[in-house]
Amino acid sequence: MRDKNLNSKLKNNFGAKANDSRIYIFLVIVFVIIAAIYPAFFTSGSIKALVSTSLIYIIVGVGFTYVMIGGNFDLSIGSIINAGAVVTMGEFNRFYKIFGGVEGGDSALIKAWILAFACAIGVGLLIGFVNGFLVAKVKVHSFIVTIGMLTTVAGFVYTYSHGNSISANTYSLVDVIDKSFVKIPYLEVFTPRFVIAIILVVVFEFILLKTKWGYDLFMVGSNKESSFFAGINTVKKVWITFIISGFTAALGGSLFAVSMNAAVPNFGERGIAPLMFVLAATIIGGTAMLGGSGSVVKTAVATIVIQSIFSFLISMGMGFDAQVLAAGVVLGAVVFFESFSVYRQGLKEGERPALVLEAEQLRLKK
Amino acid sequence: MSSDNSASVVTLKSNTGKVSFNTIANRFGVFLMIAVLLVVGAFASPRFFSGANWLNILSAVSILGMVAVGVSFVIYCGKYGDMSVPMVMALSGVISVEFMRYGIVPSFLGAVAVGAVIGLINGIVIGKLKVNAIIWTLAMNFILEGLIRWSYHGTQIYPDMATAVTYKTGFLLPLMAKLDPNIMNIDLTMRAENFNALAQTYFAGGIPLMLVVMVIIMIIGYFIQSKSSYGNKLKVVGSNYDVGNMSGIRATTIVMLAFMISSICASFAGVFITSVNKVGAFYVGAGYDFQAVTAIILGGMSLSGGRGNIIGVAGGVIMLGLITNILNLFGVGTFTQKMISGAIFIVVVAVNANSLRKLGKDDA
Amino acid sequence: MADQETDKSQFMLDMRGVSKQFPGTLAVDKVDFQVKAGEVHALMGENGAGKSTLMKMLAGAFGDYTGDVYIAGEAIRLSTPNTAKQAGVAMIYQELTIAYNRSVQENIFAGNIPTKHRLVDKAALRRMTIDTLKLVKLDGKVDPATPMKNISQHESQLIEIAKALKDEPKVLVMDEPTSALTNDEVETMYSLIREVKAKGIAIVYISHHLQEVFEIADRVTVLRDGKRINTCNVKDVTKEQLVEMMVGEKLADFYKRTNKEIGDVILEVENLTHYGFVHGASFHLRKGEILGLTGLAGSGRTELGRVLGGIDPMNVGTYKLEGESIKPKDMNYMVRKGVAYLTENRKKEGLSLRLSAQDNVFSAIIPQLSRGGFTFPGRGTKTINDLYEALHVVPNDKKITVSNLSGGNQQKVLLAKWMATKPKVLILDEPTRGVDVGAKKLIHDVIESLAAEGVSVLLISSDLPELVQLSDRILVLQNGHLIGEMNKEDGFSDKKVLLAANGERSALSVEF
Repeated sequence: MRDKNLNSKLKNNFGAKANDSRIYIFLVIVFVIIAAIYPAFFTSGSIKALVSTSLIYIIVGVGFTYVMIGGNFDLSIGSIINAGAVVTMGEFNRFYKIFGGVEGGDSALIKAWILAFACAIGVGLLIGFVNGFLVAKVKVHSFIVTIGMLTTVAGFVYTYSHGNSISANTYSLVDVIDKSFVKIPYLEVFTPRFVIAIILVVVFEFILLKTKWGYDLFMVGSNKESSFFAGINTVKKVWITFIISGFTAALGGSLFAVSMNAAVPNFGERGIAPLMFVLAATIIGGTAMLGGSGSVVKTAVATIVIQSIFSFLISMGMGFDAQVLAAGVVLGAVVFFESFSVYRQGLKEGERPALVLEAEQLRLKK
Repeated sequence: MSSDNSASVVTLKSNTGKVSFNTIANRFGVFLMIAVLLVVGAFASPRFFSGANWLNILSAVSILGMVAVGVSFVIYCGKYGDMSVPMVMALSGVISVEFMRYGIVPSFLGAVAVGAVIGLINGIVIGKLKVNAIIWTLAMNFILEGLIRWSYHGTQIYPDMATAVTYKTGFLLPLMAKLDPNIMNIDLTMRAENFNALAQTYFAGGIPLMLVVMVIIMIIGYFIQSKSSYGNKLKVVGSNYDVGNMSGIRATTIVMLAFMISSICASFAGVFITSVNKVGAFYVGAGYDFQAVTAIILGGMSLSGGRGNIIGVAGGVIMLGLITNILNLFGVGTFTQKMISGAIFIVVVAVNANSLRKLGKDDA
Repeated sequence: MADQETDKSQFMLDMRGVSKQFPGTLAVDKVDFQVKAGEVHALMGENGAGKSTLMKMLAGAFGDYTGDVYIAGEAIRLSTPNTAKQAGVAMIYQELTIAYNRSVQENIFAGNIPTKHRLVDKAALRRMTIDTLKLVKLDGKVDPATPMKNISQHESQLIEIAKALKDEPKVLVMDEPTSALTNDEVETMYSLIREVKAKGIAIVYISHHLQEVFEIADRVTVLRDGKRINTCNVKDVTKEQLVEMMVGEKLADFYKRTNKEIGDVILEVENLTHYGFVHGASFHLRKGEILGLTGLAGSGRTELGRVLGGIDPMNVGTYKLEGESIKPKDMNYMVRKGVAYLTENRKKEGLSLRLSAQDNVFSAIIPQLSRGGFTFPGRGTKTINDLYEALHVVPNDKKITVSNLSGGNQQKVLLAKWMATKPKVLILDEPTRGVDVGAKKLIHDVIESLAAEGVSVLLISSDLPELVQLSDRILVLQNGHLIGEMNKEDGFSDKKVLLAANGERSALSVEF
């Protein structure tokens, strides 16, 4: 009996391991299918384009995953992205003018960019701070807080930009931010923006897996009460996840605006909403919807997988609207299956191990 | 026994004192706030109390009112909100334009049927599989957006447009044209005018049809939610799903119906907003999900379910209308208004959650 | 009888005149509570007596209590969980606080993950976990990296204790540690507690069970209405004396039995099976009969009740109600058929705590109160008034929010909810769990009068005296199988029932 239990445990462990790394399996499958149908997909140029489109979602996904590991959702990321974008552009123009514009030379340029980034990130941190305060301290449900914040920040973005798109009065950074370090095929993806994204992903994954802070965060997301009694400051942990999310969302929007040299107040509003994309990537990447487990790296890989599917659809001649539909269906399917498996597990809850075997035999007899 | 009595009497005494105060604040809070706004409005402009301005305020919120009644069922049911409302509105609008060529009544019925089907799907997934309602309805919203845009190639649909192209693209139009090629020959001008006139129909003294429909929906909604046997079951299920389920109530069905009501109300709103805009498109319902939740929470309905009623929701809707109107009278721009309404929402929800928590009741 | 030692140095834990005020109630009122090193000190009292508040105070959950606390002679202010922990207080809660999707080692060292050069030291974590598991003899049985969701309930509890012991606490607080254990496991737990005691740790043992207290505790403190009633050596008191302290009044003829007629078979099931939970159960229930159902925790008692009540599916089997073969497809159907199931989990599945007592009582009879789709609560006024009178629910305010009622009165409201459906068969799952003695007696009286009126009762209970006193027959369930039945003619006793539940065939009147 003991052996049989052990066996079934091992089997479970194997299943669990496969499920843990499902995103890598998924990645391989998607790439194999695409390679079989459309080999041209894997040219250096399209890989570079693929990665560069994914970067904003990868960066934003870092904070989003953190919030979800902590057991909450940050639905306001779409607005924070726009806030980061318009503030970067708007503030750059303002500071550049103050520092003398073209006459100010390189130093004016550099100072203006640094201040613009600082302002954008400051706005993101502030929004994250307020979100975190309301969720962690006032204990309002995170959906409600961040939906409210989404509207408030959208209002701010429109007010700030007067509803128009803002471009920087110089192309100084556009060429730099997406310029490859090396001109070797397939290594062209190494642009400054890519490196920033990779550093973010690696650093935040490192924090999760290797530091006490990360372990404590997992514990908070998994069981808030026991964390509280273990002496972990749960309020502070949850609060910080929202600040991180505000930071990464603003940074993602800011870098995206620089790479486009334009910031629109409604990025994604009439297309694939960043929220939809990042939410799908995080869940596919294996972060538990109820918190307590997850990985920044897996979210990033899932982003690449989803973006590959979209790019593939475009390559196959499908329109942009088909992509929107595909994104929706992917998200819906993932949420559905994730919940369905939880539901199935719930049916078995409380099952007597001793009776499981007998039940199998009874079922067979029938 | 004796110890038992005294203990509960002590708790009762202390709680009734505070609960009654909180109940008053909760139930009539929105009307107190409306009173304050009325005073502010009086200062804003002498036109504020004119009949025309009031009709203006009420007709401006009548579409929101319809949506809010539906969503209030979802919130009463303890499920936080229905994020698929914007696209249900959009899809219903599109469908109503497509069905318009059969007349106004089929147009309405088609839209409502589509709303009901989407509500049914939401209800089954959320009721049966216990999927997180916000995440699921958000996903549903995205799926519907994709469907509308995919079937229309991202273009809009105008009621009076009847080119051959229209019958090649569209949600159900290609199918309809295939089943009944005659519809391509129907003269749409008249029917499109009728459809667009929906939003411009006025009764005695200039009361718009939309407002009348909103009031009717609110009255029906009130009776269903607070007086019917379904409403009573919804109250139990909403306050605690497991208890509802363990009281011989088919909780899954109750939840499912709440989402259907929400979608059907959104469908009505979708038809009217399409008529107002004279165009069917995927973006017509944007923002109504959030505004509806704002109005409902302002109206004193608790996010944890089973508390509040439609009278409060009506108050919340009117309050939002007043805020917009007063800000307009003060000359505040739309973008800033959006920011202000978001901030009001956050503050109200935070105060609501905080006061409930202080009383030791469940938070939101 | 009472200790009145004043020399605080001899106590490991010494709480003096501690109080905690909640809005409207003084939950703990100037309580003195002293525990010596190396003793098991039981803390007893009815629900609402202040046990759990006192315990949370020890855990550092309240910053605003008044009074002084000394641990090992040192004055300490237990304002946060962290200060309590550092002061040497360790807690083991009744409902285990487990992070199910994290591993054993992460759970044990939650908040205390070992680090080296500011990074998590995984090797040390593993080593320390194995050392910790040794404290409860689980080393070699449980791998530190296993997720908690793959660990059994019993092992989880031992892990919880190991987690508490690893900090070498001075005071160990255990809240109903045996509530979810089988008999063998309880014995393991006792020997573990004795070992811990020998190490000189002061153990605070919170329990409802008199038996347990007499078995394991050295001294006992009784609380009532937030006040300390008495502290005494266990060997100096009798059960009756303890009960008296807890209840505050003398219990005359606690259990009595009225004569009544038992009629024809009303419910009959054959080969009832819910795969993995209950297999092949066959029995019958007669009109006006109280049929007891016993079995150890995990034997499938509740699960059998749930299938009968239509909540869980009946995969195989026949179900006859009043001779008519039916399919228990859902609870709604069964309630309309006259079968009611009262849950053991009052707060999660029984009552909606945020609604009024009236809403709760009416929740199962909404269809009866409705005409033409509309509900008229007035139609139920007489029903609820009668039930309130029969059950003596206090206060007699039907609009009061249920969360404001005491545990006993909540349970009465729950019983009223199901009595309002006028059931033919009433399945009662732990009808008196966690209620005070007065309410318990009243509920017993009501059950008996229901049976006398012809309602058939299936009584699922882990309270042996209750089962013995009320039942006409007792079914015995073991590992999901009905193994037999005990008849009143052959004589019931607590001991016999317990033996039967443990699978002792000689205690059965009829073997299946």
